[in-house]
Amino acid sequence: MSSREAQARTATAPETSGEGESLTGAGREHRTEWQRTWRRFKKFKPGIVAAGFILILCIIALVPGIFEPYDPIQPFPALRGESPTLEHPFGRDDIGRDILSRIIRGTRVALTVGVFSTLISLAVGVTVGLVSGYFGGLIDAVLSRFVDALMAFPILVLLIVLAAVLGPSFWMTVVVIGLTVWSTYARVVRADVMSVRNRDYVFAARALGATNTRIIARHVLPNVVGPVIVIGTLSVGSIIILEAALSFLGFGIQRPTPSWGNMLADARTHIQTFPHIAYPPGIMIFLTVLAFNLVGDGLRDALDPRQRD
Amino acid sequence: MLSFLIQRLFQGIIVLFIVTFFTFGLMQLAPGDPIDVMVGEAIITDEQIELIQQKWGLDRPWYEQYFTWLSNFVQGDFGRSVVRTGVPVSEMVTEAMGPTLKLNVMAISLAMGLAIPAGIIAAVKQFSIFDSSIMVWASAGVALPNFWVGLMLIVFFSNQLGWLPSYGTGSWKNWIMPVVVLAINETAILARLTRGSTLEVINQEYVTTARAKGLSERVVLVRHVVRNAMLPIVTVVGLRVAFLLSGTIVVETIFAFPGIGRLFIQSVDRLDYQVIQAITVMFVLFVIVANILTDLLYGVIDPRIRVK
Repeated sequence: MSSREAQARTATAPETSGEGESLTGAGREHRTEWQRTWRRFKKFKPGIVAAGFILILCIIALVPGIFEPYDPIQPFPALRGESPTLEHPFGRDDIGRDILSRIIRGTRVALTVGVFSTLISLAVGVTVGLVSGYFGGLIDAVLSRFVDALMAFPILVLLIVLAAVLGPSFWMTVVVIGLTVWSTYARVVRADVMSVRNRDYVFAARALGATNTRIIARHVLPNVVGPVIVIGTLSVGSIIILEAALSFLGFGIQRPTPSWGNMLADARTHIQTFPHIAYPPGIMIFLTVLAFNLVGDGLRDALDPRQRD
Repeated sequence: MLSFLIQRLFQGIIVLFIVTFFTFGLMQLAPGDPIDVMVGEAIITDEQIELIQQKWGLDRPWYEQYFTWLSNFVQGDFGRSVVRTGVPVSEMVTEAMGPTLKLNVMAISLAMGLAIPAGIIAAVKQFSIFDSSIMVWASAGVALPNFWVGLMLIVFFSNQLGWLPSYGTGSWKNWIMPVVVLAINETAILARLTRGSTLEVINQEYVTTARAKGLSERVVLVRHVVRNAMLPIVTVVGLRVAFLLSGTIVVETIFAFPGIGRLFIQSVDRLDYQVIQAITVMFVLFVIVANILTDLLYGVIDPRIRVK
């Protein structure tokens, strides 16, 4: 009697079905789960500092114009390679542009690529993982081989070939990176879905006539939200490095748009004469990637205490 | 084990098939007609174009071209470079392969040699200063863009101190900076992983048992802890091969290192599609072989896998 009642509750009230890990739906339990997560996250001090840093970067990226002391694009050849001064704290680059202003504009580029490519790869990867894990069989076998093929590419090789073929541009860079880095989501989500697929509450939902779409959306997806958030945060950092590397090699963001990567490419050409051009972009890449990684680590500890290392 | 190996090989072949098909398709979409690249500025008639098309098989449908290319590739004929007229691509690739392989082996050896002992010591002395510094390095090392580290090393060791040459492969000094730069991210990743997996093993009951039966701490560590802690490391080193090859492209570009990464970038700049295609497939082949070897090694280390 009581067990049947419990089963019925499980089927009709999905927010109680995820064995206390469910992150979906409205209601009291759900809110306390997020509060608990936040409390755990707060304990990791480097993560809080990093989150603050990312917040500042986001503000800069949204309205770079306010912060740029000079025009980041207009060359000023008379003062090329000027060393840092009070007016130009990072100095001028190889054609006389203010490096600080270019770093600020580059922040917008880096974050835009980082966030939008992450969203694209997240959407593709989660969809592939869900379909693969939920339906299994032939669909899974075919999709898994595609994931294998994607993972067999050194990602930079694939990106360079795609950029060369399609012609490098800003949004092309965003899309191409997004479409090539989703394999981690697919693998993690697939494995999670497979372990959830045969749980009693999923059977119960099916017995009650829920469609596949509904089962996936209400019962399966909530279980993978935590890992996906963590992978997504960590991947913003690695995508920022990837974009910088691609732009450094000349296949990403094209001049005159400043990207930390193509600034380093300019720096490389003039490394003998103007080494100061090379310092700021690298430090910014390092700090930004570090910040996203620290927040990702903090979120992993907060969302899934079992994964702690 | 054998059937497992056969299954992995079969999967590898399917993956290679997808990859070659995809790469070939991309090259068809690529800008620039191969005939234009070949002919350059010379003025030729339509009949001559037809002749060239026939000679190179460009008049045949794309799927026929694909299978011709694939069967040639399998036989070690990677086509001919359009830019370095007539030079077989296989020759260019093998020529550049040597330095790249050496660079990668040295980098991964350096990374493993530093990171694995450091990770084990950090785990054994958990919460010590050494442990915290390893953890700081593990976080910082993955966030360092290797191309920037390369530039900084050039500024410091080549320009300021004049100790190391910034390009070429003449002497052993040329290898130091490329190897270090390529190893940087890997040391951070492997140190963190080794520490984590050692910590996991160190609290297992069989380790307590080994101690309880009076084995020395050294024997417990080497035979019971380290051997088991190595399992995830083997997997990750295998998976990192693809990342290492990505790094090779960057490192070879910075240090003008005459390897396959630089050849790749040069070929993309010159639209030498035969070379691009050959290198891409070679890279993927490397990764697939590395992954299969990893699985095999895993079976050797872990008896439980062998039984399955």
